[in-house]
Amino acid sequence: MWKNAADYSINKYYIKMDNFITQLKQEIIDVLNLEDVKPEDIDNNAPLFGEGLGLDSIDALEIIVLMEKNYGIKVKDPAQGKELFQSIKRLAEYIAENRTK
Amino acid sequence: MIIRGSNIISSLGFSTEENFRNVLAGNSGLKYCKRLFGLPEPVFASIIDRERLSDEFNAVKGLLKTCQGGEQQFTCLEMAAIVSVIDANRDANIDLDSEKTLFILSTTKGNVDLLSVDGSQKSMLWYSAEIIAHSFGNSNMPTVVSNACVSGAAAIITAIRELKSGKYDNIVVVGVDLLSRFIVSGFQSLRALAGDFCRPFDRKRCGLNLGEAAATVIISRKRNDNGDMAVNIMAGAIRNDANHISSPSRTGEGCFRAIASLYPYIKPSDDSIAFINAHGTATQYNDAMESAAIMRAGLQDIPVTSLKGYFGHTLGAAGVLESIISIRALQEGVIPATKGFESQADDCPLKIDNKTGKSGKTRFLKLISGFGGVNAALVFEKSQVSVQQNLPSPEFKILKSCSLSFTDTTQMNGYYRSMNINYPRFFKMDQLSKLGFLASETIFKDEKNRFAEREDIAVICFNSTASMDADMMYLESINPQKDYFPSPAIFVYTLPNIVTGEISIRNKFFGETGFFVLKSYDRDFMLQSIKNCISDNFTNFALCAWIDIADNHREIKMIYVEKCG
Repeated sequence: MWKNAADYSINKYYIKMDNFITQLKQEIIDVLNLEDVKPEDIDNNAPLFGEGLGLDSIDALEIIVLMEKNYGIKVKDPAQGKELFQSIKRLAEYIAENRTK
Repeated sequence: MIIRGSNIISSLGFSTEENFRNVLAGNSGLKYCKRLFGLPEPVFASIIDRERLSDEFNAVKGLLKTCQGGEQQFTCLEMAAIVSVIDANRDANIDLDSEKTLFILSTTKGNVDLLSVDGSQKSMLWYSAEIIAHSFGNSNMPTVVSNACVSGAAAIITAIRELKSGKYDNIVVVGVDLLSRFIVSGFQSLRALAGDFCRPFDRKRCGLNLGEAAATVIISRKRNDNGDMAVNIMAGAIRNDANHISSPSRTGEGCFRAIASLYPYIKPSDDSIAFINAHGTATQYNDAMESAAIMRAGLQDIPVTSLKGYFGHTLGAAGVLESIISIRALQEGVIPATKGFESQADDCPLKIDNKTGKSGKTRFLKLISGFGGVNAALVFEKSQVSVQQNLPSPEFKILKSCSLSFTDTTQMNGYYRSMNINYPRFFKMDQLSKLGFLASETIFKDEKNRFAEREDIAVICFNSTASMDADMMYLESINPQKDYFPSPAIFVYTLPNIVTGEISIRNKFFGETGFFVLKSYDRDFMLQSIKNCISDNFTNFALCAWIDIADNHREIKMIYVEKCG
């Protein structure tokens, strides 16, 4: 019984997280003008920078602005951003844990 | 071409001499500013004393042609430029109102602070240039060079080319930028500012400081009789990194190429270079980039200086101001100390000193770099004779031309899609860059050996509104009535020359890039500018465009030309 309830709750967390990742992808697509990219084109576990989306240092700063504007998270040191940008999943988890709005 | 007179107005004084003496004394004009322009984060900046500026301006106001009888209003930027020109002409003593005298204004953002309160032409760069030139009764249409941080050096290069062509006897180059909420918030959004006094080329360098200045050089074909300022400008070059619109090339590509094109004047074996006055902004990437370029050029044994610890980065004035201080140092046989430098950084293995040095050598090299991937290098020499070079402007023939016009961004995007190009960066660009990109793609789409690296093509653009479209968008992101979230991506495009950088990146063009702002479409001026830039020995082709953006109208006229003869 307990086990099932826990499973249910974990399941709910994953569904919520999945939805949030999709929402975050769309926000990034909009703010970075990734005109021909759709949320499903972005791999949850792939690095945001380097190959793939072709993002650069200004894009990184724009994502940092997005984190503050939409979620109230201040990233003081852009070097910390690098760690968060290792995947969209990592970024979404960090935002979910630290958001103030 | 000889420097006949100069002036600097900055936090360190209102004349060349006052500024130079303060530099030699090790004084810095940088200060901690807690809430500059009401911005949330404190900054270290150097600010011109407004009260003294107003006093100095009122003292000379009666001399101005436009103040006779009427009550003309001047902005602080215009007042600083005017006071600076008057002081520079005390030594130069040229006819400022002569038709053989041209005014060139070098600025990145001019009166951008008026953009919020005043949608009129007062915030336009050409308008400020006209106010300044007209106040001296000069009726030639003044030119504005807005080529990001290299503007000052680019304006000096434009001046020597105009003089060589023989049309003018004297050119007044005024570099000026004042700080505003617009500029400071933009550099903050790019995380480029230091939280302390800047430390150029230092192991612990952590960003730049911004500064205000107006600086003037009066450049002439002939020296004046007293001959005090016997310093010649030997040559100058501009090259692009073709790499990124805001980050300097890691290999110092454009900076190295600019230096290399001046080798006839700076050969290490000649042992004639007293010092290199670098850009030395104290950001990680700029200083490492310049070091890489200096080493690639084989000039690592020459002392390197940065003046940013005294004045901060004075943007459109920097190229002029730093050239003037370096000229005075050359004349006095000294090498200015690099204030803020303490310990050698691994990525800057250069000869840098925080104490004033001595040198009896006759030349110095000025380097400067800016957004849009643009880099400039200039060589100055002290001598008793003025080097007169009269060169007829080269001729050119038009190889291709392209004229595009759209009503809005949707149409531009539609045209992009119809070209079947895969270049997602297009959608990130501002309208100026989109127009430049589409026209250059149209011209080059069938070119053989497309994307082969080219250094022999210059990219030069002109318009009347600079980057007003991006300026308005950026202003919205720092609107005090709303939440404050300045956008770094938009701020970068508030420098109009970014369009030339975008074209260079796309096509791998490492040649000269430039941006001029004119009051209105002026065919003769543009043709002369093309001749000017192909007078560079290494430049054989030029891609030039007039770009017009109004409410329902986006238009570009582009030509691709080849030097003849």
